[in-house]
Amino acid sequence: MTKSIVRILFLPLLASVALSYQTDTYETAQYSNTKNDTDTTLQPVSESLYPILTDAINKGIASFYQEQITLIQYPSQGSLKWYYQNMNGIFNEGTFNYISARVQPSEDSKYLASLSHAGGFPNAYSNLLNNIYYNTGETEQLTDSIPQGRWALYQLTENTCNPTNANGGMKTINPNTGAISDSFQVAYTILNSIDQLRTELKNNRKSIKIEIKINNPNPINVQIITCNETTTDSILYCLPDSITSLLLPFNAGTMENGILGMEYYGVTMFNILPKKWESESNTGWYNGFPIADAVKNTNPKNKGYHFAVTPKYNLGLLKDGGDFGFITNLLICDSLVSTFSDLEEPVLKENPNTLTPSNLFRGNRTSNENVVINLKESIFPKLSVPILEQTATVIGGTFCFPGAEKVTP
Amino acid sequence: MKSSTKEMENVATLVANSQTGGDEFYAELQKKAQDAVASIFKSPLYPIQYPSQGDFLWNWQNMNNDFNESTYNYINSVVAPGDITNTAKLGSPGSFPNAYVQILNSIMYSLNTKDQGQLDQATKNASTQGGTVVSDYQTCYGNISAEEMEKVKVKTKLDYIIGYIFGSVWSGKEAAGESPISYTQMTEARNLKKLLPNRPASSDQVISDVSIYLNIMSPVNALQDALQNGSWILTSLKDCTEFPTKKNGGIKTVNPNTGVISDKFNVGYSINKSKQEISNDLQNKGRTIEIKMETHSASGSEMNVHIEGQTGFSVGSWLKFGISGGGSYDMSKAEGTSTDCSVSMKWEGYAMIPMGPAAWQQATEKGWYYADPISQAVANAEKDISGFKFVIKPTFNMDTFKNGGNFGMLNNLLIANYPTVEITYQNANFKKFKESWEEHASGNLTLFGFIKLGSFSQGVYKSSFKESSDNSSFKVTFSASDAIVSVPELQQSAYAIGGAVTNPGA
Repeated sequence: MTKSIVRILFLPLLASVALSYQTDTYETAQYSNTKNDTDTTLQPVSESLYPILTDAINKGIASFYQEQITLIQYPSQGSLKWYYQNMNGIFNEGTFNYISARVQPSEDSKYLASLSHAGGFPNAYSNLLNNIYYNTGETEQLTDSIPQGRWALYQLTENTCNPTNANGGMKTINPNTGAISDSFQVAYTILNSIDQLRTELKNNRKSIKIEIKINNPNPINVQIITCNETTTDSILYCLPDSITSLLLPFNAGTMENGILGMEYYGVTMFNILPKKWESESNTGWYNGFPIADAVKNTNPKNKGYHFAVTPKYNLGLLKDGGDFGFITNLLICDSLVSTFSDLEEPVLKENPNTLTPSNLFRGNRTSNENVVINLKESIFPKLSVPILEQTATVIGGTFCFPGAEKVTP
Repeated sequence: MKSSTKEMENVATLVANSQTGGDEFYAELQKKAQDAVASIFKSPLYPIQYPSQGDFLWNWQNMNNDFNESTYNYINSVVAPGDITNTAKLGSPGSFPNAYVQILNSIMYSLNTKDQGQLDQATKNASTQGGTVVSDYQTCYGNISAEEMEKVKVKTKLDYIIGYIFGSVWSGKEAAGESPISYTQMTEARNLKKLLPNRPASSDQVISDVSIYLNIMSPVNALQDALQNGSWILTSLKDCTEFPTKKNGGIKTVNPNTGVISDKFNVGYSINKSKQEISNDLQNKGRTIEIKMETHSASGSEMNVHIEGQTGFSVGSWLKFGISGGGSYDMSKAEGTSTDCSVSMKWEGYAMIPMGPAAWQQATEKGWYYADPISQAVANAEKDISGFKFVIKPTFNMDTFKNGGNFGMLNNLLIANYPTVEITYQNANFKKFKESWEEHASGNLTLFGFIKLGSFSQGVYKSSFKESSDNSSFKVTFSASDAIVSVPELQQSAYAIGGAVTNPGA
C-alpha cells in the first residue's frame, strides 16, 4: 500500500471563547491554552484528527460536565453494556468486563488510550499489593502490635485476592446466559441510576455536533454545537509548518477542503468507582495509597510502603506512558453519526470516495454523496436486544493512575 | 548451490505472480474498511486471507447458549502476518490456546541477583530451621517428589510446604478456589493455626517449626510473597488453560451441522455482541463498503486492472465464477464477455464483532487468558530483573503485528454480507453471452486466481444480467444465492473483511 501523505500543514488557530485544560489529561490538549473571547492567537496542532476531535468534544461537554476525556480505542469487550445490573441488583458481567480493564497507552496513536482485557486492573493491583511491604521505621519496631500500615496492606490484599460477601465483594450475572457467578468478584459502584442512564441515552436533544471545516489555505474551523442547536464554540486551528492537509486516522487519506461532521446523540457520563476500602468495616478493596507511597519512597529505610521488587508497570500518568490506570468515567452516547461534505473539488487528494459516511452502530447512509443523516434509530433497534446486552457507544473516558496520585492514607 | 538459488528465485517469482493484484486489492479493502468504522474503532484493521476455516459463522450460539463450534474454530486461531502486505492469516483451529500453553510453560517467575542473594542469605541463616521443617513434614506426610514441586512451580521442598501446603491446601484457599495466603500474612498471624482451618491431625509440630522459620525469614518475606504470587499466577493460568471446566470458565461447543454438543469443556471465548445486534447491523444495508475496478486489454492474453483509479497491474484472468456442479466461467474470456469492463464490489450491511478469550481473573480464578506475565517476560528478556522470564526462548515473534509478530489473536472482526459484484461490459457481445450463460447456476467467485469471495458447497453467488441499449454493452450482477440465504441458523455465514489483532507479548 503506498501512502504519500506526510505533508505537514501550517494553518492558524483561533479560539473565540475561554478554554481551560488540565495538563494531565493526556496529550490531546497539548495545543490548548487558557484563552478569552478575544484571543485570536493561532497555534499549531498535530496533523492528526484525534487531538482536534478530543478538544472539540471536551469543549462540547463543558456545559454538562467538568471532566476532560481522552478518546478510547474500541476494545475486545466491544461497546459498554450500560444496563449494569439486573432487577435484583446483581452486577452485569459485561459491564464489569469493560470497567475493570487496565488503562494503558495505545500502540497506534499517542492521542488514544487502550484497554486491556477484562479484569486487567484488579489483576495488576493485586500483583502490586503482593509486591509491597510496609517498613515500620525504628520507633514502631519496638511495639508489640501490628502497625496500622501493615495491617491495612494485609486487609487490602486479602479483600482484593479473596473477595467475599462479608468484605464487600459482589457476584455478577452473565448477560448472555443469565447465570449468576458462584464466586465473588471485587466490587465496583456505578453512581448513575439505570433510569437516569436510560433517560439520558434516549434524549436526542442532549447532543454534541462537531463540524471540522477544512478549507485550505484557510484555518481549520471547528464548530461545536450542543443541544438546541446552539453554537457553543468556534475554534480555528492551524497545523504545523508545511502541512497542507489534515491526516485522517489510519491512512484513510488526507483532506484539504471539506467538512467532517461528528454528531453524538444522547450523551451522558457513566460514573465508575472501584469499591473503596473502608478500614472501620474492613470492606471494599481499592486504596491507592500503598502504591503511591511505594512509588514515592525510593529510600528503603523510609517509614512507609515499599516495593519488594521493581514493579513491571509504568506507574506514571497516561501521557508519560503510564499503563496502570483504571476508568473513572466513560462518556457514552446512544448513537453517533459521522458525515462528510465537500466544499469544492477535489475534496480528497488521493481518492474522492475515500471518506464515506460512517457509523459503526446506528444511523443510515441515505445518499451516496455528502451529508447523510438518519437519526431515527435509538437504543431500541429492530430486533430487540436483551436489556443486559444493550450497549452504548463509548466516546472516551477519564482515568485514575494510582501510582501518580497525590493521596493520603 | 547456484542452481538451487536460481530455482528458489523462480519459485518466489511464481508465488509473486500467482498473487498479482493481492497487494492492491487488500490495500484498498483495508482503507475502505477503516474509513467505514474509523469514527468509533480507532484501530488498524487487517484484511484476513481466506482461511481453512472458511467464512465466519456469525450466529455464535444456539438457543441453549452452547457456543457454535465453527465460530469458535475461527476466533481461537493464532493470527500472523499474511503472505500479502498488510494482511493477516489465521492458524489452524485452537492454535492460539495451544501456543499460549507452550509459552506459559517456558516462563518462570524469578528474582534478580541482588534480590536472590538477599533471599539466599536469609535462607542460609534459617537453613537449619528449614531443614527441621522439611524433615518433620516428610516424617508425617511422606516424601515430596520433584513432580509435585514442578506441578506447583516451586523450586524447593520448603517452598512447597510453606507456599503451597500451608498457603493453599491447609489454609483451605485451594478448595475455595482462592489465591493462597502469603508468607507475610503467615508471619504476622498472631496464631498461625487460625489461618489453617484445613490442617490435618498431628500437624502441630510442623506448624510450630514453620512459625519459627518464618520469624527468622521475616526480613525477606516480601520477596517470598512476590515469588509465591508469580508462581501461583503461572500455575493457575496453566491449570485453567490445560484443564478447562465449568467452574473455571470453560465452555462446551455445538457442532453447527449435527447439533451435537461437545463432551468436554474447552477454554472459554466470548463474542461481546448479542446475536440480535449483529443481525440488526447486517440488515442495515444503508451502510456499505465499496471497491471499484476497471479492466482493459493489455498485450497478449493479459489484461490491465486498475483498482479505484490507481496504477494498474497485469493479470491473465481477474474473476472466475466456479459453478457448484463443476466447471467455471472466466469473466473476461467467457463467451460474449470482453476485457473492457468496470466493476463494483459492494458489501452492503456490515458489523463489527468484538471477541476475546475468557480473561483470567485473580479474584475468582476463572478464565485463562492473561497477557501480563507474557509481556513482562518479553520486556525482561535476559536482563537481571526480578519478575517473569523465559527459561526457554519462545519460537514465536512476540512483537506487535505491524512489526511481524506472529503470536496474535483477533480482538475484533469486521464482517459483512457477501459482496454484490456488478460487472458492466463494453465492446462485448450480449447475444453470444446470453446464449452460453447458465443463468440459474450458483457458484463461488475467485478474484485474481486466489482471493476467494466466500465459499459454500452449493455456491455463495447467483447471477443475473441486463442488456444495455446496444448489444455491445451489458451488465452481469452476482449476489448472494438463495441457498446461502436459507441455511440453518447456526450455519449463517458472513464475509470477514478484516480483523484487529492483539499480540500478548507486545
